[in-house]
Amino acid sequence: MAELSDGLIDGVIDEAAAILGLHVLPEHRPGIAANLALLSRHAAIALAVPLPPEAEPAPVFRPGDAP
Amino acid sequence: MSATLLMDDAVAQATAIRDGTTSAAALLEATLDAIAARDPVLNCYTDLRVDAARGEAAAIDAALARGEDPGPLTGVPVAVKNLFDIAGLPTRAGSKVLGALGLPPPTRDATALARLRGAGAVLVGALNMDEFAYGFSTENAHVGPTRNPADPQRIAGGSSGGSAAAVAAGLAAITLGSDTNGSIRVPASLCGIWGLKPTYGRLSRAGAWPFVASFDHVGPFARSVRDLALAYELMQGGDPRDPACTGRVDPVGDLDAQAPGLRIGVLGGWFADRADGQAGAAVERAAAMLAEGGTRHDVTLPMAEAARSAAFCITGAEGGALHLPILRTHADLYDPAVRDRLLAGTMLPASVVHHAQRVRRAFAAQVSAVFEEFDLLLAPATPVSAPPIGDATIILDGVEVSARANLGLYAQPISFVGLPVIAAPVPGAALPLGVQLIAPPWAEARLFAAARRLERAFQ
Repeated sequence: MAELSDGLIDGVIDEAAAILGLHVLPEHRPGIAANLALLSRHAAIALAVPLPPEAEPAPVFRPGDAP
Repeated sequence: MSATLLMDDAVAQATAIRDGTTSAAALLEATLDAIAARDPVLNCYTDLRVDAARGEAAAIDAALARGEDPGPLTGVPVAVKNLFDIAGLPTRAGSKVLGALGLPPPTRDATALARLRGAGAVLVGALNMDEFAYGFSTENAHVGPTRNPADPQRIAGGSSGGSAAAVAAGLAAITLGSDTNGSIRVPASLCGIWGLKPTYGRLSRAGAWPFVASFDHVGPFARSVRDLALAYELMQGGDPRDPACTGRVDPVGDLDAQAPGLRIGVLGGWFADRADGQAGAAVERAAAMLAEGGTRHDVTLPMAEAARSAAFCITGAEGGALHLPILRTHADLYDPAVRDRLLAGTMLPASVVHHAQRVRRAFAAQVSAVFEEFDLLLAPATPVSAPPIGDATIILDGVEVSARANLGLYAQPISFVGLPVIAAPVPGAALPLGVQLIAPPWAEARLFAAARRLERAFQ
């Protein structure tokens, strides 16, 4: 994920809100934009870690106890 | 009752009640008096169970009179962060939102709390926190900040700030908090008390309002290592209500047993670059004491920055997704700062979150390799001591950064991979500050033995 520039963020918020069914109030938008910009900077750092395809996530889902 | 008993540890309090030196009722009244005197300033408690606690204390005294043993926490006043379910009391999680949803109060206690009460503890009330645990300051937008007992002009840290401050001020002997990215370790550090973040999957989180399923932990705060160990031991055990709880149980053992020399690794790089002088000095002091008879070396975790960023992304995304249905209808009832972080988190692409989870496992492997050479790792719990209330920023390494996001700078990469940590207070400075004692997964017993060594050395 590229770091989101100010010019891009409004569009991202509009599209994500449409997908998620969120009505973003105008007064909430500056705070969301600032946090999305911060998240995008962290995302860029995390995504810069090269991982081989076999590097799976850690969580193990246990479907339940054996009968 | 002796005047000092209120600030004694829980083991001493339970002993005094069992041997008849005092009673559960008398200790509770002394605790309520202390709360009445200090909490109007400190603002630790959001809910007090005065009548219920009096009834429970009287029942404990009656049980003792009949020759029964209520348990190792006989009559000890405890309290919990207000995200823990208390039967009959609405769960707040630091918010107004849950109340507005019109949910009925929980009908049973959170598992961790039930286990403390089952050992004879008296539940005094519920404690202040950052809204939905998303913060490191306990400057709650709805009920105000919890103030640091060491200096009421300063924050207690968060998000379990009420839990840490209550123990530090003698307003409870043991409290429970939760730690997703540092929310036990940060306030323990800033308030100068002991805090445990156990191994991920060790203690049941059932009945604690969730935040980030991948990283949520619950744990105790205490004024002594033996209290911390006792609370931990009482809370161990499986629980079908928490899908992450493994049920693995390991005894703490004899805290004062002669231990072999430890191989101490002091975390550098990410964990030292931004620490101020006090934080660095605290780590050095603790490392020197723990390395007596053993070894001490510097070590770095090259992926620490990426780990912290990955944790940041997963936190936003999982927290945001958890709150999305409520945000659709009640966004205006949130603390604006929390709301906007959660809303932004809902908009993070799934590919980022998936990659971040893969980074988590890769980082766990890196840390695991380091633990082949070291028994314990040390790092500051917080980069600085408690900032003044209202300060939105702190200065780290000459750069002004958000206090809310950065007080957990050193805590976040460690909880990311679920390692057990004790936040240990290092005395001697004007304001409290703690260090993280970090062990391999499931090695809490090693942590407690080391913490006890530090406690003895600092006494």
